This record gives sequence, structure tokens and C-alpha cells, in this order.
Amino acid sequence: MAVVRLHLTLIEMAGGKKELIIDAQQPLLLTTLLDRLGVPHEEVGIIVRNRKRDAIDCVIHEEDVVELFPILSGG
Amino acid sequence: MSIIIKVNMSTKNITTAENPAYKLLGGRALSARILLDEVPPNCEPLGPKNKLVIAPGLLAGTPITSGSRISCGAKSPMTNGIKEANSGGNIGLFLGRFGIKAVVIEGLPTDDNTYVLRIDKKGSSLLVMNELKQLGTYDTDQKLRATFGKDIGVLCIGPAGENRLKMAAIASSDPNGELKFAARGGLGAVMGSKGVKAVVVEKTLQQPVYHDRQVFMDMVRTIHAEFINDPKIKNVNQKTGTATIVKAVNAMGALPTCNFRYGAIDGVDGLSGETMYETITSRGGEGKVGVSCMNGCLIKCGNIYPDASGKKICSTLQFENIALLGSNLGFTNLDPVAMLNYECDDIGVDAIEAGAVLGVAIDMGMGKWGDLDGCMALMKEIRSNTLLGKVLGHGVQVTGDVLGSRRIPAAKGQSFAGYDPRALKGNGVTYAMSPMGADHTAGNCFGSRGEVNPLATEQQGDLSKSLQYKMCALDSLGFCIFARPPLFKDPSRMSTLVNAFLGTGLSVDQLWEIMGVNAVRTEREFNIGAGLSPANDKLPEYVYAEPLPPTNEVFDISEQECLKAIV
Repeated sequence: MAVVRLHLTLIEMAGGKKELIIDAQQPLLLTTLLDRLGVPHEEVGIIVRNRKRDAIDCVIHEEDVVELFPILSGG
Repeated sequence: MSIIIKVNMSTKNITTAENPAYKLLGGRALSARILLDEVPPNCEPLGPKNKLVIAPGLLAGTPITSGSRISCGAKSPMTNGIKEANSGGNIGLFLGRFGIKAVVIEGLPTDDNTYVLRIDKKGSSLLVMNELKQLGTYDTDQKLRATFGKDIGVLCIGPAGENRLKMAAIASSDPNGELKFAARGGLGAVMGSKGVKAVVVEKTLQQPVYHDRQVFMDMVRTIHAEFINDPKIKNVNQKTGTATIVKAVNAMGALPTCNFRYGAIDGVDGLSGETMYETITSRGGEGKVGVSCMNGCLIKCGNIYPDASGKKICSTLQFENIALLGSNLGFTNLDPVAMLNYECDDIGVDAIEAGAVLGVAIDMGMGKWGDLDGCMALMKEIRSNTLLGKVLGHGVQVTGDVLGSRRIPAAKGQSFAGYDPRALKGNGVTYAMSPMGADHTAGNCFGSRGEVNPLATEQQGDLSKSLQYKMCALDSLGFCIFARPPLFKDPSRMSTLVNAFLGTGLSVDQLWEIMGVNAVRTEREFNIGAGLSPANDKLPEYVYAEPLPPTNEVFDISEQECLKAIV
């Protein structure tokens, strides 16, 4: 199973979902998951997969931990 | 704006002058120019030849949102190079409205008096106010208001500045009676060396003179509409401010943890912006979110953090303070962070540097991770100016050297900010290559829209360079860098504002050149004259060799790549 966590404004866009446990035995495109959740791709700013920054076209595999954040800028 | 006030603390004479050569310069660009023109770069930072330049941004005094920041510049006693630190507050607005381009404090007093520089519509005067000696910044601000009226703008130093500690900051009062800080690089010590405890500016409704007020205001309305209509301002910035990014930085493995030994902390939820918001709103009382530190700022990212009974602990909890005073010291709760934050503010020290200092001290056995009492005891030493307090108060490089640490998170003698360079390598390049030393605001690569992977070994140099001159342009115009999205989206908005204000015809490229590129180059020229050679453009050895869990990255950006970051 893979874990996908949504943060900040993405939670509301996904209907209140903060953490998903998903079956990724068949690797899954992140964009496919976002479409299922109803989160527009352009709203996702930072994608961290297994502690490393990844891109919107990344693939989620079993055992992955994925954290999704909206567009953020540092202060 | 054209008036430059010069205050000579050796003679106590105050003169005013205008210099047409400075017409297009404000804030950081102006202080860089004045310092290179008038200060021998190899002078002693706390001696008579250094000057403290207090310069509002070029657009300060106008109603553009988030655009009246105050810039302080001098040769830094911490980096021994040029330094600029800017802050919110209302003094920039008032100086701008009075048409004052800069206040330059020079010389060195031969007496021990504590001076306050007062600026009002009648002019400027120096007053002796020894009753303010060694007072914390909050008491100082209150006493100044009791003396001069509640609506004044104030810059002041705490005991740290008076005691000339290298991490001393300059406080700036905001419209809510809170204090913001021009924190980095020890400018508070320069102010203290000149015997000046505070600068007080009378509130004024006088308006600046515009070349074309109509065009200016039309652009103000355009920019303001974009902020007002952006749901992120209300739903994110006004709730969680800069603390919004805590969990993201942690997820990337770049959050300073236990003296930069790790890049992520278990229990980060307790430090997050979301927890901060829930805590402030549920405790109520004096707690607030959505607070602006400048009149008319639409972003309102500030907050007042209360204790469990609703009484204010500090204002504002920021990402940087949460990182350096929180995860960096092993805390996973915001209450101790807020208490340490308040101590830093009242003593008048840079909270980022103080967090790094405490981190090194604990790492070398002078305390325990996550122990508030131990940390507060060390802060008390700084406030009391004991011998240990002096060591700590001179910043992380001195503290680390005295204690024999080989894990000193600093570049050019100034501590890293809230991003470990091994997991956000672009920031490592900025820390190493910026004339400012390890300063994230000089070129923060966080969140750069995913264009450059934070762990990549390429593209970091160009990214840092581009951000360095763009951030410098914002610092010169007087904009808060949190306001950058609509300004960077269409930079002609900034040139339109400048041209309508000053009657110039600058293109966007010329704006970047004059306000950004040239200013950073001026700073580098000063640094070379100060003896900061390219050999100083580096990070401490341990970050090149010691992997940072959980990414296990090292700072592996080549020298060739780093050189691309020279503006």
C-alpha cells in the first residue's frame, strides 16, 4: 500500500481527505489520483515522494509515501 | 523623496542634503551606494568610520500594499562585510511621506549618554534619554510612546545592541504596537556603538509628491485587486502566515533539527502552521491571526500567539523562528518557541541567529534538546551580558569556535536560516555566494514552482543568481517579499509604479538592473574592499561531507556551479 497525504488548501479540494492509503501494486500516475479526488493539477505546488521532490507526472508505487502541498513561497 | 539627514554622533550635528545621483535608489540599493561611497570598506564595524543607513524603500510613503518597508544597512560586525536588513513597521511609511530618503548615522560619541533621534515636521533633533538605558525593546517602545505620543514610528535597540553584541537586531514598531525586526547581521550593535537607542518619527498624513498620481493609483488598484481576489491570501496567508510551509520543508527533509543534525523532526505537526492557527483561535483572548505589520498591507500574515489563558506571548510566530527556535532545538510544541521568540525580541537579538546559537550550545553539551528552562537560562545570560552571554550574543560562529564545535551552521560568520543547504541546495548556493552571508531572503529557492529540483546539482547557480537580484529589487523598492507573486508575474507593474512616481521611463530590464543587479554588485565590491575574498564564498566543511538524514544528501554543488550565482 502507498500513503498519500494532502495538506492545506488541497484538503478541501479533495473533499476533506487528508490521508489516503491506496493500493499501488499497479503503479498509479499521480495525475490519475488527483483527477479521482477532484484536485486540479495546477493547484499542486510541491510534491514530495519518499522525502524527495518529485514532479506532477510522477508515478506512485507500493510503499511510497507522498506528500502534496499547494503552491507555497517562502518568507 | 530626496532629503538625506546626516547625524554625526561625534559632533552631535545634524545636517540635511539632497543628492540627485540617488534619485532612482531607495532601500537596499541606496544603502549599498551610500556605504560604498562614504565608508572605507576595511573600517572597524563598531568604530567611527562605519555608518548606519536607515532608508525607506523607493516607494515607501505611497499606498501600495506591503511597500513601505524600512531598510537598515552598514558594515556588519558579524560578517565583516556589507549588510542590509529590512523590516515592516510604520517608520518607513512616515519617512517616505516626509520625503526623507535616508537617515545616515555616523561618527562615534565620546560620552556615555543614551540618545534618541527625533524626526518630525519641524526637523530633527538628538535628545538624551538615559532612562532608556538597558531597557528591553518593549519597555523602550512604551516609554517612547508615553513621551512622544502613541502614533509615532519607532526604531530601537534592546540591551543587546547597547552592549554591542554581534547578533543585535533593530526593532521597528508596527501599527498594532508590536515590534518587527531588521534582524540579521548585527546592525543593532552598530546603532548601539553610535549611542543611539532609538529613532522616533512623528506620524504624518503628508502625502508624497507624485509625477503622475493618476497612473500610479490606477496601478495600485490593479495590484490590490489581484491580492483581494486571490483566495490564497485569505485562506492561507492570513491564517498561517509564513508558518504555512513548516510541514512542506519538513517533508523535503530540509527543516533544521537539533543543530542541523537532521532535516526532519518527528512530531512536526506540533510546530505546523495548521497547529499554530488552531491554537491561536481556540485560545482566543489576545491571540490573533491576520495581522498586518504595515498600514494598509493586504496580506496580513502576522499573528499574536497567546498562552493557554489567552494572554499574548509573542508576535509574530514566523517559519524561521519556528525552525530555528523550535525544531532546531528539539521542540515539537509552539509554546516554548513563542516564549523564546519573545525573549529574543525583547533583548533585541536576531531570533534566527539566537536559535542557531542555542543549537550549537546544546550540541556541545550546554543543555538538552527540547528543554525550555535550559534555553531560557542561556537567553538570560545574553540579557545580563555575562561573559557567557557575550560569547553567545556574538552569534553562532563565535559560540561554535569557543566551544570547539565542528558543526557550525554559518556562512561568512552568519547563521543559516530555516533551510538546511543539503536538502535545499539552491539556498546553500545563496548562503555561500550572497554578499549578505547566509541569508535566505537574499535569494530563497524554496517553492520555486518545481522548476529546479532542490536536490539537483545543476541549475542551482542560475536560480540563486536570478533570485538574488530580484529579491534585492524588492528590498530596494520597499516591498515585502511575501508580496512578490503578482509583482513577479508581471514586473512591468513595478516599473509603471516607479515611472509614475518619479517621472522616469524605466523598462523592466532597467528596473532589475538598477534596483537589483547593480545593488548586489555594489555590495560585492564593498565586500572585496573589506577583505572578503572569494575564499569566503563557501559553506562550512561539514555540510559537504556529513549526510543529512532523512535524505542523506550532502551539499555537493560544484564550485563552478556556485560561481554562476555571482550577480
